Amino acid sequence: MSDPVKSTKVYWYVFFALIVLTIVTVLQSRLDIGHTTNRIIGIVIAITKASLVALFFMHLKYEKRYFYPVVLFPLALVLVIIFANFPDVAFGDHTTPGVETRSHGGGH
Amino acid sequence: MDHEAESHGSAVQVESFERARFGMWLFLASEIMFFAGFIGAYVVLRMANPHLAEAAQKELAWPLAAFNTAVLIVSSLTMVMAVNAISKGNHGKCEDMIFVTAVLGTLFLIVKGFEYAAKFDHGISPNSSSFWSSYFLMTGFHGLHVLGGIVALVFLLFYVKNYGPQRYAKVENVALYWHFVDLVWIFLFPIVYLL
Repeated sequence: MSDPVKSTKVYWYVFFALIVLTIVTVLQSRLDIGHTTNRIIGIVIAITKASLVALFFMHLKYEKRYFYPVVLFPLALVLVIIFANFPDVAFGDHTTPGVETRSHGGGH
Repeated sequence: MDHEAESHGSAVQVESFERARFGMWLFLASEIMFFAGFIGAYVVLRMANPHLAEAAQKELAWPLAAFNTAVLIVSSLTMVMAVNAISKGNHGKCEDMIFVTAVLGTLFLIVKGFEYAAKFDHGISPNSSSFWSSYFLMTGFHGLHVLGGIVALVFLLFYVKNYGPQRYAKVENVALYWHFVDLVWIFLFPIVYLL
């Protein structure tokens, strides 16, 4: 029983990729390319970094296939948890007295 | 995939290690859901009150958080080096790497402590606004996970010598947990501090 990754070179490559992607995340968040674009790029980079950590550092790439549903199923539920409440906060008309009114489909 | 059963143990042992890792992944799956609850609440609360986040993010020290991100990434590298070392039978290097990982985890918490202290100095607390409650919940529970990881690492540091043939599985499972903690931060850093 041993580390499926024989050469630590792989780990160094992943490490440098993670550092570079962190720098890119910070730099792009300062760019004036629209808040929504910043967010999409930021999340895509975060997902890329997380995948690198899971696949290489956590050896998911080298595990048997039956490990995958255990990881992917909760991730699908995460999306449900986040997006199930979207219709109200993103598109709802909050005009109840005492509650601040916001514009529809706000750009934030 | 090939885990080199022939060189380090029987097929039975390889299977038992695989089950141990699978158990850890199941635990991590429950942890994913734990943090998903906080992140889901954060996203919804933030969309409902965008102005709160805009004001709050001016108070957040993103350079400090960026530094902490780098600390955790380095600690993930040292952790994976510990796993690699133990698989090659190199106890000394494994212990060194576990020690460095624990020190980096502690450094993360110290920086976090300064960040929290600055917030309290400015009169910011979890009940200041929905943004700040989310902030303290997410980073607070993440910090507790780092603390838990450090406890596991210190335990490992003292006992890794005594574990015998299962030592690889023990080091690898602690490593899985440690990488997961890094993974959570990879998401928290941009969504809380930058975007």
